[in-house]
Order: sequence, then structure tokens, then C-alpha cells
Amino acid sequence: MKMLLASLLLLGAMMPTYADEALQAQALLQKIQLASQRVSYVGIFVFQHDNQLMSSRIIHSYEPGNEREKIERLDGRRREYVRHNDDVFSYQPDTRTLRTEKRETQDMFPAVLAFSSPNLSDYYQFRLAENARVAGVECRVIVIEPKDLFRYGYRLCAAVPNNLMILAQTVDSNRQVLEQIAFTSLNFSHIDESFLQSDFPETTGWKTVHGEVVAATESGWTVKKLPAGFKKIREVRRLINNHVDSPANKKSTDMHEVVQMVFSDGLATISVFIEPLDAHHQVGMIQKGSTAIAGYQLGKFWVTLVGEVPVAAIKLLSDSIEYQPK
Amino acid sequence: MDSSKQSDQIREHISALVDGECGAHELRSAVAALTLPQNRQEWEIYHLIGDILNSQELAVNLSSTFPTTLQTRLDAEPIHLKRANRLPHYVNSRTAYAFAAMLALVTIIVPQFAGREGAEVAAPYQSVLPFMAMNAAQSTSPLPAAGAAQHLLKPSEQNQDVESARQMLRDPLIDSYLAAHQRYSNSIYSAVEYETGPISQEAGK
Repeated sequence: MKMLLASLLLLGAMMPTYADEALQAQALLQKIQLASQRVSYVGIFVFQHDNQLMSSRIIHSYEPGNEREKIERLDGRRREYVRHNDDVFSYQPDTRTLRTEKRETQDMFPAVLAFSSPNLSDYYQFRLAENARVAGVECRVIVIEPKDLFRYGYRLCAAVPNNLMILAQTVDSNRQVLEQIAFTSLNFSHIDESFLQSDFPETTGWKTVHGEVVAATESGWTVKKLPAGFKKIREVRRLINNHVDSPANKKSTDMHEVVQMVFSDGLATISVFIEPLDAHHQVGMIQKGSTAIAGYQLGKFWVTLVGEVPVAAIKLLSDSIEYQPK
Repeated sequence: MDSSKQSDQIREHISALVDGECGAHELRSAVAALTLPQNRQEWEIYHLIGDILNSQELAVNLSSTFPTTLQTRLDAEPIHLKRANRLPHYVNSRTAYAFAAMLALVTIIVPQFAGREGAEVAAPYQSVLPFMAMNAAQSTSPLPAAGAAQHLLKPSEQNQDVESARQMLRDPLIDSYLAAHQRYSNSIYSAVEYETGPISQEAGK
């Protein structure tokens, strides 16, 4: 009994520290989110995934009401993405394609939150670890560990001066890094307007594609079982390419319509795509870095699930998809 | 109360709990006792013994952080009681899920990913899992995580479906879905992949 009392007292004494630290870590997430918009910087970040390495240059500039960004991929085929507030232009010089659309999320690297969930601590444990140094910048390390088997953990590092996220790792239950993205060089400075212009000002003769989605709240599809904390953040009808948009088959422009439902707990995201069945799909499930992808037939429909979650979560959703026309 | 006598009694209760022979009265004290580390160790040892008696393959040394990790995860586990009515009355849902979750964790920790053969063929992909076979495995399990994890242990079943999974890897459509998903995902590499086509093709170049 004494032992019980003693350990309860000890636990009591330790609690405030843990709670404080967890709150600080969560507050830091919000600051990371804000910093991803408000900080002006030029940098090169590297994405590591399995045995692959890819680097991109990012230029980001912020003045109130005026957020601009340019990302150039530095490996493989040239790709450029230029954004002014919510207007996005994606340049693909090899296929001479310009894709224009409205930005659909505000959570791309170096942002992190799909939505601001007040309950994140119900599904993840947050703590701060010792400061690290990335790309020559000191940063505060946030360790995020899942409380169940339906999501991965994360290790993030936020620059001490301004909370810009400069390292993000996705970590599995064995604490193995599944994939990571990190700045290798970074300068915080005022950005000259000219740096933010596209390298492809002349797009006459290019194919222009408008990426549009239509809200589809009445699609009639429901997912009955979700891991705790996941909620539907979007439901749209969108067009999906029937073929890879690569030089080899650039003539294949045909698209087909799918319903896309997006679920998130604030950190991890799962998409469910549903469409009438055609003959071209393959049943299966693959795992690629932290991304799990599954495809299977459901009655007269084809269902595809994609998410940065363990297969257990994909499995849970896939068993509970139902059509209930209203 | 004499403390050694008390701990003997607690040990008895824990043993009874492990064996599913715990009465309502003992259950309270046994569960309460499990909040103490030394008692929890007792509980784990009893389970390990039981597991080894059942199968030599289950003789696995768990990491020291395993109990705390398990506890936090258990607390967050969604409850699915579809098959609960088939359980004997002395197994309450908590112990049942403890078993299932423990099994899930053990099976995940031990084999890691079983799909190495698949990975050789499709270099960028970590593992190839047969999806439909997983469905079958799941239907016999009360916990989805356990169903999925158990299946990872069965390479023979997996081989049957590897061919279809390989074909799926070649299905160019996958990259379209991936791109569409990443539009809404805070996946850490969305920025890299934004409307840029498949990684798999790039890897070959």
C-alpha cells in the first residue's frame, strides 16, 4: 500500500511537467503552421523516401495579404510550382502543360496541420526533446507518438528564431523513420519579387489544364468506421487522369470522375476514392514509405484508399464503406 | 495487513485473471494491483508462460517500453464488440482487447514487413500485401489491427496474391490517385510531389 501511495505521489509530482511540455509542444505545432505562411525564406529541401532522394528549391515570401511561393524540383523531370495566395500554377515543360487551380489545402511542407484539432492529445502524445541543428539552424524538436496502431508518429524540428519547420520525419511503431523531409540550406531574408517569377513566362502553345473539383456532400457514400479522432474534412467530385501524364503517353488526356472523401485526425490523412467499376483495375495493397494504397471492388464500384497511415487504418475504413442514397 | 501476505494474494489474483478464473471480487483488486510496475511484470510473465506453453514461436522478449506503449495504445483503441457475446463470461472486454492488441503488437514487431519478395520486384515499394486475403483474415478477428497484423505472418497466403499486387504496382492510375490524395494531405512530401507525376518512373531514369 505504501508503494502504491508513493508511486501515486511521484506520478502526481511528475504530471505537471509532462502536461506543460505536451501543451508547449502542441502550441509549437500551431506556431509552425503560422510560420509556414508568415516567414520569408529561400531554401533547398530534400525528401528521403525508401532508397530515393529528391531535392527541391523553395522560395517563400510574405507580406500581409500577399503570400507568394515558388518550388522547383531539382531532380528528374523539371517541375515548377508557383503560387500567389490561393492561385496555383504548375509548369511541366516536358509535356508543355500548365495546370492552373485554386489551392485546396494549407498544410503542405513546411506546414503540418490538416485542420486545427483541439483533441490531438487524445490520439498522440506530445513531448519536446533536446534541441537539434538542421541546415545550420538551431531547432526545437517535437516528438509526436501515436496512442494507437492506426497512425504513425512524427518527429518535427522548428527553427528557434521563427518556428519554421525545417525537419519532419514520419516514424513507425519501431521508431524507424519511414520517410523524412529536411532543409539542407536555408536563408531567412526579404525576397525580391523577381525570384518568384516562373522560369517559363512563355507558355503559348502549351496545353492548359484547369484543375477543378466540385463539392459532393450528397454522394451517398459513407464510411462507418474511422480510427478515433478522424473526421471527414472534405468530399468532392474530381477528375482523375486515366494515364500517367508522362512524355511517353502525353496524348492520353482522358479523365474520369471519382468521388473523393478525405479523412484526417489533424496530422494523418486518408483519401477514399469511389467510382463505377471498369475493367482496368487491379486488386491489391501496397505500402510505399509511409503511404498505404489499397484498391478493391465493392459491388458495382471500385474503391481506392490512399493514406499516410499504417495498413490497419486502411483496413478499418475499407471494411466499413457503404452506399446509402439519400 | 502483512505486505508479503498481501502480495502473495495479489499474485494469486493476477494469476487467476490471466487464466480467466478470476471472480468479480478478485477482479477489482487484481486490476487495481496491475497499476503497479512490479505487479504488471508478474502479469507479463504469466502471459509469457502461457504463450510459450501454447507455442514456442511466441517466446519473444518484449522491449522495456512495451507495457507503457501498449497501455497508452490500448486506452486509445476503438472498441468493436461485434463478437463479444461469444467470449466466455469471465473474459471482460478489457482483457480480450489486451490479448488482441498484444498479439497485434507482437506480430507487428516480430516480422516487420513480410513482403520482401515483392519488394525485390518493385524496388520503390516497401512491401506488397494482398488486400483481399487480409479481408478474410480480418473476419475471424475481433480487432482490425490484429487481423491485419496476423496476416503479415503468413507468407504462403501472401505469395498467392503477390502477382496481382505487382500488377497493381504497374497500374499507372495509382499515381493519379496518389496525386489527388496529396492535394488534401499534409503528407510531408506533398510539396515535392505536387502535380509532378510518379516517383516510380523517375527512379528508373
